Amino acid sequence: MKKIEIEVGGVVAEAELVEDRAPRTTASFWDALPLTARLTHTKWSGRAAEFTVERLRSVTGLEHRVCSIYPGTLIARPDKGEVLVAYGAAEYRSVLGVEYGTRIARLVRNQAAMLAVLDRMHDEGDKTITIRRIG
Amino acid sequence: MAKLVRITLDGVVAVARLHEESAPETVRRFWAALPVEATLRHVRWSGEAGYILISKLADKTQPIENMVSFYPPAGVAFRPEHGEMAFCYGQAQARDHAHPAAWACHLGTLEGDAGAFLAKVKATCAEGGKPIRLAREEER
Repeated sequence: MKKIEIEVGGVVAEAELVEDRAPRTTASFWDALPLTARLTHTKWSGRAAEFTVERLRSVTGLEHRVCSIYPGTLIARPDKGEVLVAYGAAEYRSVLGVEYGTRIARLVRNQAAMLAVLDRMHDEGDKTITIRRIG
Repeated sequence: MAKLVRITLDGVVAVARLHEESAPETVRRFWAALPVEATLRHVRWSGEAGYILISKLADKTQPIENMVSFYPPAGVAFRPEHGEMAFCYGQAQARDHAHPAAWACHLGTLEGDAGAFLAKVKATCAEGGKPIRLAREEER
């Protein structure tokens, strides 16, 4: 199982990609690494932050569809080139209402510290996210 | 005579006219609660708006007057069940984690050119919370 290292605000966490459930989307995401992007708080989806991965736009359709985004979970919307990471109650929504995304990864190490730094974005504003391959 | 509220957000001032005829009880309670000082943060579920919580006005039994679901730009919306007041700068709707669509009271509307104020509201998404003060402007 492919693993990635996520760094936000000086906090480093580890996540596993859900390759078996979302092979095309996770492969595209893996190919985009390493990446550094601006991390912004979502406006419609609740307690989650989002960043852009343009490479994902080449992926057609959704895999492993979800609406709810559990804390520590990453989901992608390839058509929008965006990835969300949740730190609390979150659901993939837009101005049009509830939508679906592809679940691509989950935090497996140092989750609590990462969720705390994401939570602070509500008070502190945007941060920078860096994601690297492990191994 | 219209009730006007002076809103100061991180040094930028706007004036809102309260809709007393269409939301008399909500306006009365809000007017009595002024001045209010809080931190304005960007909404997480409702789109393009900032919000404050006025806990002393939270009341799950208060009927919602002048009901709207979508917030009009430059509108001031109030959800009595949460004591939540929202200032809308674009597309926005009363929502929360349990309700993809809910209702709010259209309490007031910003007067004149509120562009600088609304830009400050928008900036809370990227920059984080900002201090806000609401006070009675005058009655006229």
